[in-house]
Amino acid sequence: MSNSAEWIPFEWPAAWKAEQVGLLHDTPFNALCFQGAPPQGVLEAAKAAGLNVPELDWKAWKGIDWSKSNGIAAISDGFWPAYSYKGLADGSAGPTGEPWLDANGWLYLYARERAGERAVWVRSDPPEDPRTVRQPHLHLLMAEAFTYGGRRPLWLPPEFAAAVAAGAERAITDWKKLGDTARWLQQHEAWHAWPAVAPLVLLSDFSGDNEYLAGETMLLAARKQIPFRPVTTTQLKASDLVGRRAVAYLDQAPLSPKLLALLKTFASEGGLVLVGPASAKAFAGLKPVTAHPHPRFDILAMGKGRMALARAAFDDAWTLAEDAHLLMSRRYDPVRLFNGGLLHTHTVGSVDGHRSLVHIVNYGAEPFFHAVVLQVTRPIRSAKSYLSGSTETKTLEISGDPARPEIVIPHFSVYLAVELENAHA
Amino acid sequence: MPEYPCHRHALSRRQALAGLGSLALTPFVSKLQGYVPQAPTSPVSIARCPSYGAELTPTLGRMLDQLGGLGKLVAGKTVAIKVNLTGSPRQRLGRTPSELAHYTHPAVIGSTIRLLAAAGARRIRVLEGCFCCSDPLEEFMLDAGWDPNPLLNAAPNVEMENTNVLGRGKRYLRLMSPQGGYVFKGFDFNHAWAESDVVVSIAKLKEHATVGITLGMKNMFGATPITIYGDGCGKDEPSLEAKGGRGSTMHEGAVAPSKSAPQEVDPNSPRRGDYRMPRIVVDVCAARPVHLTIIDGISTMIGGEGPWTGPRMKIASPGVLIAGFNPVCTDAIGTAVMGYDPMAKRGQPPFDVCDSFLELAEARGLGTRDPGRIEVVGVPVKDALFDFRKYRGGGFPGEGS
Repeated sequence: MSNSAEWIPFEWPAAWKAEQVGLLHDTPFNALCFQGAPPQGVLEAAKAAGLNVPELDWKAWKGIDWSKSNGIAAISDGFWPAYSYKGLADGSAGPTGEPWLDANGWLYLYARERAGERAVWVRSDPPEDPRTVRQPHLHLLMAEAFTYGGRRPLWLPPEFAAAVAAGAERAITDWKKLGDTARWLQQHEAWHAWPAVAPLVLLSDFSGDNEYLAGETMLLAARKQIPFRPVTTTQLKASDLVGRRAVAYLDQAPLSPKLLALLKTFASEGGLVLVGPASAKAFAGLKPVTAHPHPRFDILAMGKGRMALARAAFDDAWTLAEDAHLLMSRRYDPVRLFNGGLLHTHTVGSVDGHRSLVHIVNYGAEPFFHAVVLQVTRPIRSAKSYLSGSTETKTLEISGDPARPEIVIPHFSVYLAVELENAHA
Repeated sequence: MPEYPCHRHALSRRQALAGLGSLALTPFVSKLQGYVPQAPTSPVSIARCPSYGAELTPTLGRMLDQLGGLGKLVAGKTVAIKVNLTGSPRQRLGRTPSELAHYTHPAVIGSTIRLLAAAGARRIRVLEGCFCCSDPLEEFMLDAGWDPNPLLNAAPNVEMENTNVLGRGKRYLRLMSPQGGYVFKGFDFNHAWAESDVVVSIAKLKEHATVGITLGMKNMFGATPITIYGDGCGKDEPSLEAKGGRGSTMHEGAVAPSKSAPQEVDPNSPRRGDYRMPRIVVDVCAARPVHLTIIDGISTMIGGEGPWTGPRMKIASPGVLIAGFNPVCTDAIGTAVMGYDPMAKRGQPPFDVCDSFLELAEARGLGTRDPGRIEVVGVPVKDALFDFRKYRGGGFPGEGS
């Protein structure tokens, strides 16, 4: 198989020998990654088994050469996806006031945007103590990547890898379940063609002096579950703005004439554009919107839309992300979760507009037993759930206000998708 | 700074004089004549209302008519409505929408807005100090799954504000209690509280882990801006953004409000929520008097003020609305409807583990809590009774949490 987009990566355990290549038989894992040079025997056995062993140039996300048009964009500095205990001193929360999740959604979204047709793989170092890794965490690695259209090489904790190699019954059962999840995700890859429902565009060149703020803004916007699409300044086209509600231009430099024209048109037609002080001159003469005064932005009317001109240079990514969200309005969020806790959503829509899909990832990686309710912010006709690893779909009951219907989410451990049939395509 | 007369229009002349005496003349009269003035009283209306449907607005309208109507109170005035949206907008008691459990139902807010407008209110402000944040109230409602537009469009000149922060104001405005204060003699508020002629407290019929019950008076606690009275308040001046709750400053007294605001009367007073909170509730209501209290008891929760409270939480449908012009009287009748004795003292339900803010408010002359002195119009208490404690299965709110 030569198409790297179809490769399902597996990180070869250091202690495995060539004969363990057979363990990959009947699994969807068809590409091997190695820490260091692959042992010759393993390499030969892998090739004999028809497995791919790509040459990967793992780099930190900031160091990826996005101008390449082929090969795999291999990002080495992802997070180990999990509930993090390293937030505040009491371990309860990060600066957002919510449980702190180490999540990679923003990184996959960004990399997918930059990589074009190239496959995006993300890895990270495992936890310091691999014994803390439970089986659901391994499913989470794959499910999170799947949700955002990327891939995560499956890594096995050494003790588990040794047990699998030794043929321990329970370990083999767990190993097969991992293969089942990978296969299930592979079977649902058509969803990757559905574009994200993202009313907010984060616009930046994502480089040089802008790199830090832009990266942090993406990270924290995702942390707050603000649905956004990152777009690079050099790539922005009018078609990228169709259906969007707001654009936040994150960079320090003034808008280029081309961007200025695009964004003025976007605002005039009803959108909201947020810019820093360096671009403010371009909007001199606009009249203020006589609504709520904002502590950090002057809000000006522009055609049917608004310009939000920051009074000071952006320096706080969390505040910037939240300002952009609130100025745009939560009204345009495609969904919201009640009692969501450690669940994150990512909503995509079919190209024909008839259906949408809500990926729900459980970073707790264990079953929850409280009621979680998904509210959809538009009318729908039906809803059904897909549980990873299961061939059955389940029709979900819809209740509440038809304009904002609600669905009680079935309990699950790692990943669930809810497909919605939209009432108005 | 405007002054706020106590709701004399709703009182008899004798009652009003008694109330005035309690406000201004108490030390003089008591000392010279041995006269102990009675706290003012005012009628309270109770109605059965099984749902938030079409019957809601006419029912509430009838109740307000029974009280003498809204016209004299609100015609030509700016009216502030304090709603109760306590806790995180994304946290629910099970799958139950917050408005059926611990939030004031938007239908009650909408009906009140329509009735206020029909009575001639010039401008209506829907206000709340939104949980731990500076978000515009409209956005907070969206986060809770509501659409604020029907409320904004329920009448002309309706606006919303999160009073945790400056909002449309340029500075915080100070309101002092004419009666002094138990913990604070006054507070610095968002401009909307000081620049409104009339205050309406729309509360939920609920129990409360710290102060026993939360009705119209306790609802006003949320009017205090957390930029000044919150866990993340500014030390010298109000913080720009609202962060955290009011636990360390108000409940525990571990952190002082911003120095720019009035400080505590006695920094050596007990640092316990069961002592402080009932007194602060009274202090807030004395500084920013409430002119109309509406208690939403159509659907509510049992066992606490929100889904975080304790192990005995349940959804219940008492199917009742309560309204009155005096917040103490209205809360006292609300307490009675919940199956509790409003005359209860500390150690007696619902004040099992706290001082009674009703007793403290009465002692301050804000209103009587004595049901024997409060005229109930509409449905009698016995016919509206919904015994919270019995429904809950004993214990007290928050017990064991």
